[in-house]
Amino acid sequence: MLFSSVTFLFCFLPLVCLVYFLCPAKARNWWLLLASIFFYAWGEPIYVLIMLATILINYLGALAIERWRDRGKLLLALAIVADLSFLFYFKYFNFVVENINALFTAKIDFIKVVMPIGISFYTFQAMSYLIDVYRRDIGVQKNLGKLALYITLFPQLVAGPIVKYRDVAAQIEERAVEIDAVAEGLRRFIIGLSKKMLLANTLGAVADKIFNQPVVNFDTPTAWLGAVCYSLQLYYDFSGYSDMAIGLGRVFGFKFPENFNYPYISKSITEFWRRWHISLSTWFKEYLYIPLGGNRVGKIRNVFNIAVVFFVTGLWHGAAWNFVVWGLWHGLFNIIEKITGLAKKEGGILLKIFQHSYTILAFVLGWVMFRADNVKYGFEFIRRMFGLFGESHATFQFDYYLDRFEIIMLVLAVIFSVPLCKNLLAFAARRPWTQILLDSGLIALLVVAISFVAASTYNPFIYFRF
Amino acid sequence: MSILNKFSGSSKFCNIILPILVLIILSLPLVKINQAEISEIENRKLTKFPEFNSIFESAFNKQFDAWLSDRFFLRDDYLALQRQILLINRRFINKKAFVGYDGWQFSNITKSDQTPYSAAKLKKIKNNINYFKDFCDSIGAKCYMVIAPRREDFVGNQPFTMLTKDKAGQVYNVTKNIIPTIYPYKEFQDANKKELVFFKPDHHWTEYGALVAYRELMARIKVDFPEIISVNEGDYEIYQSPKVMAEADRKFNNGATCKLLNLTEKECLDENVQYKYYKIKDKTPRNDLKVAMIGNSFIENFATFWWPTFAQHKKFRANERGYDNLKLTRWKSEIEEFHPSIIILVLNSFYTFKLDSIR
Repeated sequence: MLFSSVTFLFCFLPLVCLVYFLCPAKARNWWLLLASIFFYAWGEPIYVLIMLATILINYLGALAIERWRDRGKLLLALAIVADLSFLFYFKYFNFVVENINALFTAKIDFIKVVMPIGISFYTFQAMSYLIDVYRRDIGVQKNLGKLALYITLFPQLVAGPIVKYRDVAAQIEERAVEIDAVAEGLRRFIIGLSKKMLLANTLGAVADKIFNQPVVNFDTPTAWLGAVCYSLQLYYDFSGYSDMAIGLGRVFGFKFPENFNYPYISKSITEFWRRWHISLSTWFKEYLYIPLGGNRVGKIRNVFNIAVVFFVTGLWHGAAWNFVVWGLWHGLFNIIEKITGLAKKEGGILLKIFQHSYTILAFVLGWVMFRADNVKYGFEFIRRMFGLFGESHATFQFDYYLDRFEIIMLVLAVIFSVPLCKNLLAFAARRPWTQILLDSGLIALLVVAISFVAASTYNPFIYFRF
Repeated sequence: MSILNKFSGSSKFCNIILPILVLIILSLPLVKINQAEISEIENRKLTKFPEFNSIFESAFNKQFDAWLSDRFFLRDDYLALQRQILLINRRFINKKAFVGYDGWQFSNITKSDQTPYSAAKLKKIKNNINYFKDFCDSIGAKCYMVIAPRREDFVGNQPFTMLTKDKAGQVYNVTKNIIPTIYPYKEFQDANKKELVFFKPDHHWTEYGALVAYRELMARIKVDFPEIISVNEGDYEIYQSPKVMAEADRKFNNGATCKLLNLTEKECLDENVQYKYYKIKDKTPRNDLKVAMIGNSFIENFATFWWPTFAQHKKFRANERGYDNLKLTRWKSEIEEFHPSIIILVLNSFYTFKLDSIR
């Protein structure tokens, strides 16, 4: 089930909220657990069993680690291997087979498998719980239902943020339903839904029109348009989902950590990764980078550690070489910034302009590779951006891609990518009349966002369809 | 009340009103479910409520999503709101269609016209046309083909260009050596200077465009049937309308592409644009010959001139009632029984890709 679907908005969410607020406090966790499993099973009626199996493995694994501390490392390893086996099978098996076949001209068959939604997210969430139990950062959760709730909680189940158990443990045990928090959560949810339906989808349609064509079909300005629109689409899609997740969490009394902090204002790629998909980057920092030695090792080893982390980061995003190239691209800039100290340099306006410009260029080019169907297309696209691909036979003119609504959304997307509006909203919230105006605006925004959800259901045909 | 007791520490009026309003807005769509079978606007059947078979099947869930998406309360109002917002656009692009310059509208299948047919495809088409000719010969009929040129070549300056020569031209070069093929590209170019040969909010040719093609076809048929009498503009009452008539029902509408864009009549039609329509004065058929016409929807406007020309005629429509192919076996026995003297295959540039389905 998607947050922006009709079934979620009109059936699931109102029903879950209503029952949640009406039922006694003791029953709320069970209701949320039931709702979350139903939420997942709606889209994945068979693969929900994989998720439940993951929960059981981690529940038993943590209990075993706690019980047999002397063999904790082995038990942890076994449980993590079990977790990663599911992920490997569904996400990476065919990728590995494809590369073995290519490298050794073998003829290993692919398996016909569809990746369960959210498997990357809930697997990492489960693993963080196990590792924290092993490290004694948290106590083991002996109640299977509560652990299951932590892993399956529907607001953050399919698209994050990746929540650590210690961040929500106390809230699972006890939390109050506060009307202020409910209102705050709904405001956040409306903003997230609007980001997704109005900004991300509009700019995504522009990007898709461009990226779905061979590079020879468009010129350099169009290539830049596609790259910029995709960069903004990805940010608003992902951060919009995070807003909806965090907002819904708030409605139910949970406070999830922030996942995005205006990454596009970064002055370095190092800073970018402190602002983009924060829950993932902190996960990798805590559970991969630091155990590898982090920066408390020699320079060469440190560079190696960074490369490994970004290699895995790329691979986490998708089982294809273009994702790996994207990850290593970011790793490269991270390493360069570390060696040159560029990320820490302070200076005048010219230096700041240079830092912002170079960072924007770096992540926009990275997103091109991320979006490309394959590495070859990604490089061709980038060459087109710099006028290095040769003559273009522009099928659609630049004018075609950007109409008035798209231009307005593009401008708004750029404006909202800086903290300007956040500060304005905070100011408005302090005064009763401005709060009323703000909430009226949010209600109007909700109606507009729903109209765009409705439009996605509009499916006309020229000739009658039976 | 226990509900209020659950909500502790509320300090703002807004924090109470907002959740209530949101709950109302999100619950309202379930108040009433649209029970209609068909959507006139979308030209399709609306999804029925699914049957539940097993908890392990996702079919029910997907069908339920589709059912609710088609039928929730206030759906048309929400669609109208979104459309109003997008009216600031000049080109009103959605996934199905877009508006070009000067009111010309295009479905997004325009994009598929840019890749030329491969040699393999053209070979298959050639074989199929030979098969079609053999069938005509077997029943003693003369067969002809009419290909309407690509509409996009007659729409003036637009925010797109075509990479290659259109597919109709490719097919014409293959079929002209097998059966007489009318591909009135130059004639359309000349005619389009006087009157529009294609509709602006619809992909079909106008009756005037069909007349231009008819003239060329009759000139060719006269080579084989010298006694044949054709109709001309003088045989018709000519009237004009800004609306579109292109389908079998012979009713005026706002245009098929306009429907994809979900525009109203006022938003769609240009009152300054008037299309020529023809009403036969004397319905007496000019010729006794039997004619069968096979093709896609381009048959319909063509029939305005065809039916008064021939006393006995049958139409075989490729794309209707759930079918969308030119398989000859669909109509073979009926055509054999009808035993026509002339069989004509009528289609437009886009539909030439279906020529590989004849056999």
